[in-house]
Amino acid sequence: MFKKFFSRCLLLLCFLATNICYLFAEGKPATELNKTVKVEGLTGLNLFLAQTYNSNRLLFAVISTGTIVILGVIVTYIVSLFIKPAGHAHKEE
Amino acid sequence: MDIFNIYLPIAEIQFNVILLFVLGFCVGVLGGFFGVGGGWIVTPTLNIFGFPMDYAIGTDITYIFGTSIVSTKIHSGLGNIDWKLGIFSIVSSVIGVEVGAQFIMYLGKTYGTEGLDSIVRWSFITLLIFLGSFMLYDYFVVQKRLSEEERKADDPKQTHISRIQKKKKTALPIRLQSIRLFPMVSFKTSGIKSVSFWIVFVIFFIAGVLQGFLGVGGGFIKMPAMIYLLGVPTVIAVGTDLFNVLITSIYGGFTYAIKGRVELIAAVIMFFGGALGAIFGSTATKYVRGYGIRLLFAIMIIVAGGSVVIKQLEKPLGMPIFNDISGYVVVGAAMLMTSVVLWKLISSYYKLKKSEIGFDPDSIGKH
Repeated sequence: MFKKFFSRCLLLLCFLATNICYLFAEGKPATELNKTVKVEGLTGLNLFLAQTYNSNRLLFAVISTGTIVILGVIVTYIVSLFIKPAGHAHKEE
Repeated sequence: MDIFNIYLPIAEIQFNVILLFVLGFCVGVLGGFFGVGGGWIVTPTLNIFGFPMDYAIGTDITYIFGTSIVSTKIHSGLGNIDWKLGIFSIVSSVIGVEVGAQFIMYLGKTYGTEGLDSIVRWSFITLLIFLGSFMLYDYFVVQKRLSEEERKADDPKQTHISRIQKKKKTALPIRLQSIRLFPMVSFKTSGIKSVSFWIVFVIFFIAGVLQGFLGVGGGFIKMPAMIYLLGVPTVIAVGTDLFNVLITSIYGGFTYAIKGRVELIAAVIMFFGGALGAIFGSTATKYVRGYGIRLLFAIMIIVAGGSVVIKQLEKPLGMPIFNDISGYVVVGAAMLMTSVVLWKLISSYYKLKKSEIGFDPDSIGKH
């Protein structure tokens, strides 16, 4: 079951990769989207995110989505270790 | 409470970390329990507490994507997902979303931004209140029948549910399934032996049109559509809908991040709350009967409809406070509903444990 789930996650990543290729094909994003955030006084993770945001929006998007995917898969894995669903839910009212 | 404030570098604001976690938790519980994304709760809440609207939407959709991974996995473990129906629903609704979006463009050109805003908002209110009232009506009709049957029957425990189901079989899903329009498809997990492909397509296409037209995730449209039009059991509708939310929100999250409208740190904090909530919410579907889920869902969407009505009063009365009140109504209702779901889960769990210890034979097969 878990292998199946991971293979589906992999499919989703392929779906994302297709979108990335599409974005490369389309060229630069619209001007109004090129907003920058201030980096003065920031340190550590905040600084890294702000710099990435300002310099490479595509990388920022990949980091954002990738972080959530990785966290989602890790939490899902932990949940599957601790929660073993006892049988199936009632499928009729 | 200022000690819990953190700086969010992309939205460039200070925000309370506890609020983010609690909000994520509540929406995680409700999302896992009802099979919805919960954008209609998160977006106004973030907005009220200081997020610019575009960042609120982008962060919300990224967070929903994360929690729906967890909810989908749990529902998958519970056998609540009809993968085939899920893929059908995604493909059909994506086409519908495009048509809905084109219709919005047309209305925008014809009536202008303000006119369009009003049309969309009133359509949203009408849909929420109609759907909620219908589900409430359905719930009370069935409850009335159940109590009548219980009074009449000699052995109500074993017979009344099947009698009600027999009555339900004459309902809309059966009539729709009897239409023989080639090609026919079957959805084993949902218990649908044969239904025309076109019926399924049209249902999800219309749901997609509404989704594109109203600019919402669509979970609250597709979940009832699966139950009342296709006859999918409630828990399967919840699980399948979450799979749908997962696929659509992954794209949404990415596209908003490209536009620079995702506050990743806030999304991650909400995700941790949401993942925890999703575990409780998804597990609760195992203990609460399908009709119980429908009742709570109906109440929730009527409250959501009410909050949009309050928001709608903002402009004619010239009082911006109505915008905040509308948000507080949604947040309050979400917190209350989360408490109800958790209470149901805990009380059902203890009942089950008690019956296991006491070897109560009547409890076998109830859960």
